[in-house]
Parts: sequence; structure tokens; C-alpha cells
Amino acid sequence: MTSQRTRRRRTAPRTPVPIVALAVIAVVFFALPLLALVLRVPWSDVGDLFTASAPREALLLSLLTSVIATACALVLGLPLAWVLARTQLPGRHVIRAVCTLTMVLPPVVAGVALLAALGRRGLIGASLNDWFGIRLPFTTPAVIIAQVFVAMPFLVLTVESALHSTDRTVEDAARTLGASPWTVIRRVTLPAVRPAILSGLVLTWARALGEFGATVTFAGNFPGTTRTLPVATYLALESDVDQALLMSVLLMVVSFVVLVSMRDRWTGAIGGRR
Amino acid sequence: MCFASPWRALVAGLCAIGLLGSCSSDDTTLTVFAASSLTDALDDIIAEHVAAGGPPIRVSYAGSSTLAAQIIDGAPADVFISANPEQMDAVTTVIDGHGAPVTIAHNSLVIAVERDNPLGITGLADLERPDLLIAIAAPEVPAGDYARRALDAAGVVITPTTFETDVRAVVTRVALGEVDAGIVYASDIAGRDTTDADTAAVTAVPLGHPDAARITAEYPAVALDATNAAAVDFIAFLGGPVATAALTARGFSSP
Amino acid sequence: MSVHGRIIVRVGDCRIDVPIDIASGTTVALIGPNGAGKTTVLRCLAGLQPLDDGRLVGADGVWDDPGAGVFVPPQHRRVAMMFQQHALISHLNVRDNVAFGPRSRGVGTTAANQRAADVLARVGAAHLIARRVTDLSGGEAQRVALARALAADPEVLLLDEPLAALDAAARPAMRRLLAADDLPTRVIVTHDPIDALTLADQIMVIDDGALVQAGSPRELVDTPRSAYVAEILGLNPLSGVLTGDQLLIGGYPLTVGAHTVADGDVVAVVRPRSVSLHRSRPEGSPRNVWSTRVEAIERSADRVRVRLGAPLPLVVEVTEGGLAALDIGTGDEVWASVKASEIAVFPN
Repeated sequence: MTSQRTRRRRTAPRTPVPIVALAVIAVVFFALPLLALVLRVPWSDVGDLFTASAPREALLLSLLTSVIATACALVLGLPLAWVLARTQLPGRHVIRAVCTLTMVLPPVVAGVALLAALGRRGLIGASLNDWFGIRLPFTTPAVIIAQVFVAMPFLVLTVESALHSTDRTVEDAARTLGASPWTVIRRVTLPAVRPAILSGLVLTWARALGEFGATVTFAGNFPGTTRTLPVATYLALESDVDQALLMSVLLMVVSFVVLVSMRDRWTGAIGGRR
Repeated sequence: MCFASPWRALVAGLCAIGLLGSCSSDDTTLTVFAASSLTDALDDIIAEHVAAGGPPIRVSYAGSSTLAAQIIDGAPADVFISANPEQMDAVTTVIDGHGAPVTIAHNSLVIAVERDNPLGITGLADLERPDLLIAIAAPEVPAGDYARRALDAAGVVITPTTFETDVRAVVTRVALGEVDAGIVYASDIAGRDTTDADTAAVTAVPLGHPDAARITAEYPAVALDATNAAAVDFIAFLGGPVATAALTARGFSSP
Repeated sequence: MSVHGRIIVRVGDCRIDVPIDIASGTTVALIGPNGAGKTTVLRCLAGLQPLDDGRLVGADGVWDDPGAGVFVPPQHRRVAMMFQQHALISHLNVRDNVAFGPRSRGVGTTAANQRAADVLARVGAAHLIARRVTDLSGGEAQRVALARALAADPEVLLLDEPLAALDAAARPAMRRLLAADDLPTRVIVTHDPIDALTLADQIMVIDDGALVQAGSPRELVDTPRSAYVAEILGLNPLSGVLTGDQLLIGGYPLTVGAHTVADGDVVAVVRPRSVSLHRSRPEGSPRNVWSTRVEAIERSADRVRVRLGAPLPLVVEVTEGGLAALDIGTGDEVWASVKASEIAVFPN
């Protein structure tokens, strides 16, 4: 491993200057606004953030819903990615487009679409309401549904592309060695795409955590049940800018810690260490 | 999923740059920052002002607090029209050399219900019915603050289902049938196009309580530079009869 | 295990129709050009590619009979396949790869690991047991792949170009492993006639999805039933008597390279390109050097074949430029040489 790495370093050509220069611009482009945000935060008020119950409540709700949404995306998205990558299903290009459209849709439109389907007067929502008394909008499950709706494509696309690029002969070999189709999936295919699943999960979770437009449109805003941290932050901008800044930094710190730690995990998996 | 052509993206980008450039290029154009609830009425007023020989006007509509923050950060506005006095105060305490703020309109509150009021709601007191789903604006935004004051004045205690991030979202909720009632500005409903069956699916019901009815939003306007004659002229025009008529037509009340 | 039947399958634009008759305990080589359908035949035997028509019957029953709606999936055939690019599972280490077959068939972890260790030792790869498969060389990976296939205890071992991905240095060891007596019934796909002749009891020549000729190496070399078979074999067959690394052909001695053939009557083959020609006696290197005469020079589109006379009636392939440099004609004296390692022997 070590010798391989040093060899690679010796033979790697130097990165051309224009690439480095543009990459530096890209880093500054990301880092500068975030740094400016951090600098503008009234750090003397940081105590209020943790004593006030509203931000804490919103953060807990955000963490809870985004984690559940990520789990739902995994349960539904993994089989979807499988079908898209591994079957000859006619029209799967159309299916893929439909299932990833919410990535490019303005989130508010995604929320309106959810209302049109699951709202009190919605396509299915009306029947749910009339027959079972189930009303989804303005509930915590609605927050999760909105997050899954806009975030799941990140998992599906990441895993599908990994499934396309895996070596199918390894699976064939496993089958001739006596492994059932389930065993092949469990012990060969899923471990092979594990890094992609992990990065897909992190992307999905990050998108769910930051979700605002679809949530506020479909689930509304009620403290404790549907007011997530992004919604609370947006509202705070209307009344107390200092608190809004503190909450946005809180959201950033939580995301940053998770992204950095997960990043190490999954590069470890790719590099082969576990 | 993909750009129709790279040219379209390029043209769009150039247009955006062109718009930015136009901010400073034309000295005679008046830049107005106005609360978004004024959109329809102010468009009418500006048309009248230009017809009367006034200079060209560009308007940026947004929430009052957003606009106030932008102005304090140095945005190049000539006139600021706020939907509440607090944001006006925030601006006038920071900006030097502004003119005197003038209240150009009030906006009273109404209960928005589904078209033809199927649940028979007659006033704020009815909103206490436990079977109703009610949306109001979040207390952080002015409409939510007024709604709460109106409810307090009427002595009515309600449990809203949702606190919307802006007052137009409350109207949308009612129009979509997701909630049974919401508290909104009169101008939010009067401004809607009543010829379209879908968008007209909202009916206004008075608050039904004299103390609550006295809670109204106040719209102060100011020339941010008292020496800008065009801006001062426009403030005067806003207080005049033509503007008042246009505001009244859109559901506002005169000051 | 014996397997017989007829494989009829369509893959893309290629239709494959090949009769199968594999006797228990034998080694069958499938030889033919790239795209002939060799690998597809192997995949049909493994159950990775269902038949469109025909049927396959193993000693334990029908494997695939689309007419009767019977299909035994790969995991229920006692068949293991070794792939050209080893196809090891990269997130498992060597031991877990080799233990994968037993584990999949329900053997406990301890017993499966023991089996992995035993089989790795058998293929001379015991020292690799704890390595990551991504750190293996090509030769090591192929050994581990063979061990993994054997650990599944197959009745039929399917080998797809087991030598093609290896460098020259790693090939002899793998040839020896594949020639071992204690292996199960083997089906080897190869494009190399020498490998087919030296490793197989039966050779099936396949071209364009059809069986061109089947028979023992001897039969194919002696009586190629078509110009095509002679062409793809394209070899100089010589009968002789082997004693260790010394081969006597009509009284003329040759030194041969490493092999696994018992002493006695054998057939030796030499590739036309492996023989070098010289105007004078070459210095130093090859052990097999002799003087002879040019009997004939035959030209075809892209090459020149030089037919040599006694003591060894060989055909030598040279380029037009090479012939010009030699400046020889029919009847001229010429020196010939061939490396010991370029002479392959198989039992008569």
C-alpha cells in the first residue's frame, strides 16, 4: 500500500497551473460567503441559542426528520436504483427521469405537487381523509415525505451509477460458487457499492436537513411538529437577524461535522481499510 | 434535465449581467423598494405617475424586513415603502438625510375562507371551533403580528395548524382547501382575479369585532434622500388622490 | 461428472449451436478465434446463460431444457467457473474469497476457513491467505481464483482463458496446476492451440458459433478435417520418444522445455514462428541448432513459409523482409534453431 502510494506520487504529472488557479477560485467561492457568515454572527449571544428552546426544538426536529427521511430513501431508493441499473424494464429511462425530476424542480413546486397528491383535496389525500381520516399536511410525517421527495434522487443516482460500473463477472463467479441471488446481493453486490451507498446517504441526508421550500409548502410551519431548523432560520430572518445567523451557523456546524466524518469513513472504504 | 442549448444559458447569463448593469446606468430612473403586499396597487399607481409625466420607475418587491436589511446594507434605493412602521424606523434611524415618512395606506385584516363560506364563519369568534384548520402568518412576519393582536383584541384563543412564512401563503392554503380559514390582509383577497374560478376560491369575511377591526397595517413611505426631487415628488404623488383611489380599489383603506 | 446435450443460444447477432459431449474426469478444450462463442458455451454450462433451445444434461439430471421448462440455476449445479480476469471479490481478503463457495453452501465458518487454507496450500498459495485481493499480482490472483473454484468442490471446473491474463513467467506454474490429475472434469476455453493440445483430452474447435471439429489432440493434429482447423492449429507436429527433457525424433535429438508428460511416445509441436533461420551457425544461445536445406518457399498474402528438409520436416514462417535479409532460395543450405521452451509435447 505504502510503496504503491509513493510510486504514484513520483509518477503523477504536475497539475497544470490553470487547473490549480481555477480550483483555488472555486474554493474561495465556497469558503468566502461561509466565512463572512461566521464572522457576522454575534458570538456574544451564542448562549441564548442554547438556552432558548425554539432553536433547540427546531434542530432536534430537523435531525429526527432528516435521519428518518434518509432511512426511507434507503429502503425505497436502493431497490429503485437496482431496477434502473440491472433490469431491462422498458421505459426505465422515463422512470429515471420521473424519479429524479424533484432534483431540478423548485422545491416550492415540489411542495405544491405533494399537496396536489396528498393534500386534503389532493388526488389521494382526499380519499385518505374521507376514508381513513388521515390528514398528512401540517404533520411531522409530511415533513419527512417532503424531504424524501426532494432528497431521494441523490441516493438513487449515486447508487445506480455505482451498480452500472461494478464488475458483473464477480457476481457471476459468486453464483457458480453456489451463492443464491440473495447471497450475491448481500455479500457481493452491496459491499461493492457500499461507498456509493454511503456517499448517497450523506448527500440525501444533507439535502433533507437543509430542505426548506417543499417542507414549508407541504408541511407548513408549527413549532415542534413541522418547524425545522431551516424554516425557523428563515422566520428568524424576519424578526431577529442575530438569532437567524446563529441558527444558520448551527446548521452549518452540524452538517460540516457529519460531512467531514462521513467523508473519512467512505474514503476509507474505497481505499480498502475498514 | 439538460439545458436546451448552451447558448440559452449564455444568453440568460448575459441578460442577468445586463440587468445588474442597468442599476447604475440610468440616472433618471427612480428605484423604489416596496413591501410585496403592495405589488398590484403600486403597479397601477406607477403607471399613472408615468402617464402624468413622471420619470421611469423600477420597483423591487419583497418582505419589508428583507428590504430594510438591504437598504441598511447600502442597496441603491431612492424610495422605501414599508408594510409596518418598525421596519421604517429601522431604516430611518440608520440612513442620514432622508425625508419625512408619510403613511400612504392602511390595510385591514379579514378572515379568508373558501369560496361562498361553506362553513358559515362569521367572525373571529368562530375560529375557536375545534374542528377548524386555521392558518395564520408566523408572528415573526408583520401579518402574523397583526393577526395575533387582532385575536387578543377580540379575546379569541385559537390553535392554528400552521404559521405561514408570509401572508400570501395563508391565502394559498385557503384557496387549495388545505385549511378552512386564515387571517389575511384585505388587499390579499381584493387583489385576486375574481374572473378565474380557481384563484377566486377565496372569500373575505370581516373580523366581526370592533376592537379587532381597529388593528390595521400601516404603510409608511419615505424618500431616502430628501434632496432627490423625483423621489420627493413620488412620495407626494403616493399621498395624492390618484394613488389613494388605486389603493382603495385593491382593498387598502386610506390613512 | 459427464455433461452432454446441445447448446443453442442467441447472443446479440451471434447464434451458437454446439453439441456437447463431455466425459467424466476428462479435460475438454474449446478453441477458436475471438468471438467464436467459446465463452458463451462456458456460460451456458455454468447456468449463467439460459439456453434458447436444445438441452443440457449432467450426470445428476437435466440442467437446462427450455422445451420442458427446466432450468437449474448456477448455484444448484456443481459447477465452478474461473474467469479470465479472476473476478475475485475485492472487499474480501484471499481467505474469505476462497471460503466463499463453502460458506454459500452452508458450511460453517471454521470448516470453510479450514477448507480455504487446504485448497490454497494445494495451489501453492498458502502464503497469500491473509492478503487483500487488490494487492495480488496477476499470477497470484489467478491462483487464488483457481483455489476459490476448487474450494467449492465442483464436479465440473470451467476455465475461461486461464492463462491469457498471465505474463510469460507466471504461465508454466498455472499450466502445471491445470494439468494436475486430481482435478475434476475440466472445460478450458483458450485461443492458444499449444495450451489446448497439451492440457486437453478432447478438443472442440469452434468458429462462428458452430463446432468445426472435435477429437483428441492427436486426431486434430494428424487429420485436421478442414483447412480452417489446420490453419488455427498452424503447428508443426512431430512424433518422437521422450526421455526427461530429451526428445528423439527419427534419431535426431531435441531439448524440450518444462512439461508434465511421462516418458515414452509423444507428439511435439513447434510454432512456425518459433523457428529462426540463419545463413551461418548462430552463436551462443539456443540449444537446438541444426543445418538443413530449403525445400520450398511458399508465399501467401501477408507471409512467407519456408519448408525445411531433413532431419526435421518443419514449416517456418518469416516475413518478406526477413527472407530478403537471409537471401536464400530453394535448395540453399540454412541453419535453423528453436528454443527448448518453444517445443510443446503431449502424450501420443
